[in-house]
Amino acid sequence: MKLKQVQTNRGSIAIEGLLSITLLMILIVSVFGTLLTIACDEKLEWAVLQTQGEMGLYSMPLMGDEHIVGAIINETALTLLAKQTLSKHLEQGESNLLNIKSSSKVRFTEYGVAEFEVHYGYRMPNAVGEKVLYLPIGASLMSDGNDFSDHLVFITNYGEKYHVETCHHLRKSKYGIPLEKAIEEGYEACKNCHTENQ
Amino acid sequence: MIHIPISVEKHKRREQIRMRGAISIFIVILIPILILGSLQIYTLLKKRQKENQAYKVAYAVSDAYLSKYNAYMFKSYGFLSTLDEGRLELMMSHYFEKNGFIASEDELKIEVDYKTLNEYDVFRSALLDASTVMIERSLVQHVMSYEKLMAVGEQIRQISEKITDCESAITGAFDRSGMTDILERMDSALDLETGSALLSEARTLLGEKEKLFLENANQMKEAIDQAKTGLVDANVQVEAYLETEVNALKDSENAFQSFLSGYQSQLLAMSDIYISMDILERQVSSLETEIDDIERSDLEQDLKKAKLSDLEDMKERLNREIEAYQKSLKELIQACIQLEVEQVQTSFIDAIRSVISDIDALFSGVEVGEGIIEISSENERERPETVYESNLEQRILMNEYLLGLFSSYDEHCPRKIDPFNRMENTRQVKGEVEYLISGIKDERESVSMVRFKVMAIREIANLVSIVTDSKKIKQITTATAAIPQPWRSVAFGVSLIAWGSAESYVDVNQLMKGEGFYYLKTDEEWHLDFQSLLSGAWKSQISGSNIESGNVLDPKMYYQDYLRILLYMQPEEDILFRAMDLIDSELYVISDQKVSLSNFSTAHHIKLYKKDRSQYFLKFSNEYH
Repeated sequence: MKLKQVQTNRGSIAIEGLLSITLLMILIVSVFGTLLTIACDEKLEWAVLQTQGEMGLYSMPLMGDEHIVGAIINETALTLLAKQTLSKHLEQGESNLLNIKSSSKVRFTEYGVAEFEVHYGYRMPNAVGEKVLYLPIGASLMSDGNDFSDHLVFITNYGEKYHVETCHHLRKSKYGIPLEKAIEEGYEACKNCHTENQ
Repeated sequence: MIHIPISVEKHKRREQIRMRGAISIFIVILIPILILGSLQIYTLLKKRQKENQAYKVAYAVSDAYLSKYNAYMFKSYGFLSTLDEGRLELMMSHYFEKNGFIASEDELKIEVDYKTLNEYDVFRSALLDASTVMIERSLVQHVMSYEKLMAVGEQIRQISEKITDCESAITGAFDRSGMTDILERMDSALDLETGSALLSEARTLLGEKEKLFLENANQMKEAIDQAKTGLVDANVQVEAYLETEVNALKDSENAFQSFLSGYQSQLLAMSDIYISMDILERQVSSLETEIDDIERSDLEQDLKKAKLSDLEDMKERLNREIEAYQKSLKELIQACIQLEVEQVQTSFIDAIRSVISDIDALFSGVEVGEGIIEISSENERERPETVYESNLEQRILMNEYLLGLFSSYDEHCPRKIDPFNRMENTRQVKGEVEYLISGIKDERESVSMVRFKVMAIREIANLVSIVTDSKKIKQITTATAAIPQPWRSVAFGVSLIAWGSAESYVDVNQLMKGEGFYYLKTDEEWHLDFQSLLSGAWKSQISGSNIESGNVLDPKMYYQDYLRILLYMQPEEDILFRAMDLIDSELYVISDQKVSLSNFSTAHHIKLYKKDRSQYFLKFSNEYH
């Protein structure tokens, strides 16, 4: 009877100890994991800002000649360039814990700047899932194309029409181009805005 | 059966109960405290991280916004400025919402203070940046020529040679062909490894060019420092010239002194006549005494009376003689003076006047427009509280930029450069640089003032040329030899100034037609011969413009170079305000009265508020250059 009592007491101590140590371990892992993810985020943001600064460099030699830039730099080429530049800066920061996803991309926005959409995750057991960071990068087309010319029309990224400055089709993207150049490159007048104007 | 002592059993039980109690306390109290504490720290860290992230996103948006330059401002003026259309606020809200810092775009309140180009400091800074856009071949060559103009001696020539060496190196540093090549290759190679290699190559290339540029820029700075010494030497020469001028004036003064002394001697001669008249009068009085004595004698009374009447006749005759002599002397002096004045006037001053009026008619080759610079009354410029004093290099950059940007009255000048291809466009007024110098909105008045200033500079140079050239001095001396002193000195001075002025007049005319010549002209470049100037034969000598096809390295001085000097002489603040006026009026016309300098920003200060908070949570400035 007395022996059973002793054995019961011993069992409850072992369970309590096991629980306590497990909880403590989980807590320590969570704290360190959180600190590491915050450090990784900081490194990633720093690298993206560095990328933003460097992307401007590639446009500088062609600044002032929007047609050349528009012809040779497209979103795919820009995405490749941005990803490669970001990887370089991340390597400099020794961020092996970060995993930049292949779904990251660069696209032109309605604000006339290129936007870097970075999808990333962590190479850590405690942090799962994917995060996204959206940052405008001032690469590609450096100028707004507005030279106050009477013959200036506006085109979009993918459209085949040219528009007047106030046309609602220009919500997504907008680049100024001389009318003669637009016609020469095969653009046609937008039926909405040009009919309204006429 | 084993019997355990009761005391030992009790002790073990107590020990077990104590251990269980301690673990329970750990589970019940410490673990929750640790968990709650960790959660608090986690929340705090996450909040800080989010604020930090928001700051980075805000900065990136601000940077992207400012890097979107207006095409017209860059193409026409080289200004890296953004046309403000209220897009910054939209962009900021958009990216804050997209990155999860705010739930909806309405939650964010933004205060933006744009630093626009109509502010003096912003404009000055943008102009200095834009002027570096021009720092390619033409600018470096112009710096060279600028130094050559300001200097007189061989020292400046040596400095210019040094700058030539820097020039080719700096031009090499700005060569973009390597970069373009890399970019083209990058476009065709779409794999990461090749892209990485090309990027490394681009970075190395840029690094090398930057190093090359800095090295040569330092060398050029040293050369410019030496040029300052050269300028001091030039000043010494000008002072020497002024000393000569003062001496010439002293000579003229001496001549007048000798004339005055001659006049005094004439007066002395007249006083001698008066003295002799006194003596005669005394003799008459002694005779009168004698007459009195005779009167006392009755016997000799008649005889004495007869003698008296003779003496009185003599006295009257003498008085008449003296008056006639005085009158004739006065007439003689006046006639002499009149004669000499007429000689001087007719032979020189009238002749030179007619020459100058003839030269004035020659300006028909330079047509001055009658435009008026229209500046909106809304553009009242605010004077800055503190004005930055630019150093020599900055002033040179500014002046070169303004000379390249704006039009002036010498379209054919080989020194004229057009870095922004603006000269093809129709200009509001032709004499924009002249307006920068004079500040007069009426084109005709403005050009006249600048022409007068250029003429003043040329006149000093021409007078120095005449004074230091024995042949020219001999021409004037020969022409004035027939005139008696002291009028010869006056005629000499008048001839000197008139010849210098006439030559300067012709110089300005030829300069505005695009001709250039050395500051101190050679004999071949001299337009007017003194003898032919007086005789009128000079007209055939300068008919037609003799413009040689020079280049920017030509050491001769062109109209542009005089504008350069005059621009340098104006206060920087005035020049910049006038440049702002010109650009503003141009923008006003080109944009169909939609925009002015106040619509273009190069920097901004931002305050971001969350609507549920009373205080801003982010505040920063961004200047993008």
